[in-house]
Order: sequence, then structure tokens, then C-alpha cells
Amino acid sequence: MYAETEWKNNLQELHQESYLWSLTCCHFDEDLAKDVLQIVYLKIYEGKAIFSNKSSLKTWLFSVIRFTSIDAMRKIRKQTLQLNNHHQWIAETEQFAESPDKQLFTKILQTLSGQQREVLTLAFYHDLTLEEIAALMKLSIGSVRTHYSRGKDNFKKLLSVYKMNNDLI
Amino acid sequence: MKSENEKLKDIFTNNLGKGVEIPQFESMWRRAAELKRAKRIMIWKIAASIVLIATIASLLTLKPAQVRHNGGMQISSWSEPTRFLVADHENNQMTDLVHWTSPTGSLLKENNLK
Repeated sequence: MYAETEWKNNLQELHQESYLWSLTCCHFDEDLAKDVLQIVYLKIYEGKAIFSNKSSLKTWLFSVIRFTSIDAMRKIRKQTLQLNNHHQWIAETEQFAESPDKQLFTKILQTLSGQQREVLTLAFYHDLTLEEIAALMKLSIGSVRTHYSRGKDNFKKLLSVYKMNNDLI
Repeated sequence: MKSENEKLKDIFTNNLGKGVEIPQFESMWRRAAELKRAKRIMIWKIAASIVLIATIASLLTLKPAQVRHNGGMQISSWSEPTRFLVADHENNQMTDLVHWTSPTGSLLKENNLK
């Protein structure tokens, strides 16, 4: 069991990575990513999310963030379905207008499927092993390997399509 | 020469979160504490409201039910001149109310004194 100050220190150390992971899970919606991380901290503060030492703290925290973001996005999707076609059309137009300004890297990541994006981010940015990723995403190691190799292939293809490989490195 | 994975790692490290403003941890942690307190207060308020509503509802429903059970009149508060006819329980001298034909007998129909 962690004392509150210990929790705080550990979470503080992981804060930046947690936020970027939340951002990845929330399809790079910054407001939603902040809300999700806030909900996760509240869950931890209230003792609703309990760390049981079965995995590393980082893997556990990222798993909580992932499932919280899934819930949050499901709620948003429900709200979006309640909108009429006109409002949906406006939302899509705004999204389209916004996309050219977005970073190339973010655009490439958004082109990948959700699970490929998550696996690649966890592997290449957060330095998790495929076993840890499988535990975090509650997937079999075989599925993770598939997402990993397909994601890598797609990512490389997209890099060559945009011909921006050198710019990104 | 860097391997493919090392190149990809570099791409991710250099570009993920580029231009993104990271929210402050302290303010988020403080907000979590505030939200927890607010939530607890709200739960207490809801619980208190439920108790209050239940108490008021039980008072409002039990009182008329009790009155109905006694035929619309509490026998203890009956002060008619014929009250003495049902008074003496202890000495088994109670008047047989089934055959009682007094004009005020209707008041006793549902008072369970038969």
C-alpha cells in the first residue's frame, strides 16, 4: 500500500508521460486528455483505483488512463449521436478545417488504427515491453505483436507517403 | 548506424507532445482533493434529503392510516355521553357492541372492540 505522499511523488514523476499517454488515448484532444487525467487522479485519490503490485506502477496507471479514456469517449460518442445531422455536419466541417494545421506526426498517428497507435506509442515513447503492453491493454501477446508489426509497417508507409522522414527525425 | 527501431524511437521521442502544453501536476492533484471533498458533501446532502423526505412521508401517511383504522375517531378521545358503554374492559363488563342499537353506534363499527 502506498501512503498519500508516496503516491503523490510517484504520480508526479509520471505526470508528463501520463498526460501524453492520455492524449494518445483521447485521439489528441487536449481538453479531453486533461479531463481524463483529472478523473484518473480523482479515482486514485478516492481509492477507487487500487494498485495491487501485480504490475509496475506505470503499467497500472497507464491501464487506468486507457480505460478511463475509453469510457469518456464512449460518453462523448453517445452525446454526438444525439445531435442532429446539421450539427454533425458543422462538427465534421470544423474538424476538416482544423486538420491542415495539425502536426504531421500527430496526423500520421491519427491515421493508424487505435490499437496500432497505442501499441507503437507505448513501445517507442514509453519504453514498455510487448508483455507489459499486453498486460496494460488486456490483450494477448499475439494480438499485441500483430498490432505492433502492422502498426510499424503502416507508420513507415505513411512516413514515406508524406516524404517527411527526415523532417521528423 | 541506427537500427529501424532506434529510428522510430527517435521519431516518437522528438515529436510526441511537441507543442503540447502539459498541465501542472500540483493543480490537478489539488483539484482531485477538492472534487473528493465536494463529492463527499454532496453525498451527505443527498442522504440527509432522503432521510428528511422519508420521515416527512412516513409522518404524513401513518397518521391518516391510524385515524382510518379507528373508524375516523380515536376511541380514547371519544367524549360522547355513551362513552361509558365501552369503558370497562378489565372487569369483563363491556357492553356487547354488536347488538348495540344506539344512534351513535356507527362510530364504533371499525374500532375492533367486538
